[in-house]
Amino acid sequence: MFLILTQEDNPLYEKRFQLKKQTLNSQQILNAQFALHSSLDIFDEKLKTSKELFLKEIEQKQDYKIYGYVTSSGLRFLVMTDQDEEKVKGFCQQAHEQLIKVLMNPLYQIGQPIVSFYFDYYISQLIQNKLNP
Amino acid sequence: MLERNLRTLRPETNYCTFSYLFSEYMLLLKRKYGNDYTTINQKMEQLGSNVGIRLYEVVCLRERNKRETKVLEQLKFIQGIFWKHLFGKQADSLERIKDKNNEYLIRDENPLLLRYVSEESPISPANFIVGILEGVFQVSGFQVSITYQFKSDDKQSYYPHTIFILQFEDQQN
Repeated sequence: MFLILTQEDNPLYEKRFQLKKQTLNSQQILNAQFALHSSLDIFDEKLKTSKELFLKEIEQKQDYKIYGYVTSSGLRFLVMTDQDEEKVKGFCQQAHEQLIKVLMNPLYQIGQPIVSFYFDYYISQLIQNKLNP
Repeated sequence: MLERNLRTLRPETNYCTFSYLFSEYMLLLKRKYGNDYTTINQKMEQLGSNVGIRLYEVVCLRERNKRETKVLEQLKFIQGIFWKHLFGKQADSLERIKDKNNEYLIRDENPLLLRYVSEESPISPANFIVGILEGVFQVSGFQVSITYQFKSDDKQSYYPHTIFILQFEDQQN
């Protein structure tokens, strides 16, 4: 699962993707969302100490790992997957570039949910290319 | 449009074009709000902060910058690299006001936008620059209030310098 949040933790974008050809039922989706949101305090701690953009592994659950990434303007990415760190880092950097292109739209108000179709499509492509085994 | 590379620099725009565009914008505001100077200045600051947030993201991407957590480093980045992207040269100086730990000055002689505007007018493009700075600091997590002043120097420059005064709130850590 992939989430983009603002500085005040308002969700801007959310993408669910399937791992290992499991179908997710709604209970697992809820669990995934809960796990991601509950790792936000660790995210904040790492934010204060680190100067980097990619915050590496924040938390580890039974099967999945949660990775964090911050953009320069304080938007937060959260990725929950079982892939390696390198792949997730590449994914986050590409997603960051695409997000900046969405931001550049003068008609897009900063802080509103992202509804651009092309952004959605690009993220799906990225997930298929990078995050699938 | 979405497939263009963000990392390649765009060619610079014409100064006349930009100043024409900006002067038309100021005239629009004047027509709309008349003599309500505070609203006009606020609108310019809002526009500035929108521009500032977006430009800050792009500049950070291009310069491969990591985030800054300290105030002074952030200010140095703004004075050097960011100002260069905005106006083509670095800001002239960054100083700390004596006896006050949280106040800093950014001084620029003859900034681009203010070249043809007299400094006594109550509406000024300096508000736009203030808006840009406010936007940048707001998203990097620092609380700051910014004002500007014109100060003439005893040395041989013909026009007064523009000074942006940044007052930071007390930060923990």
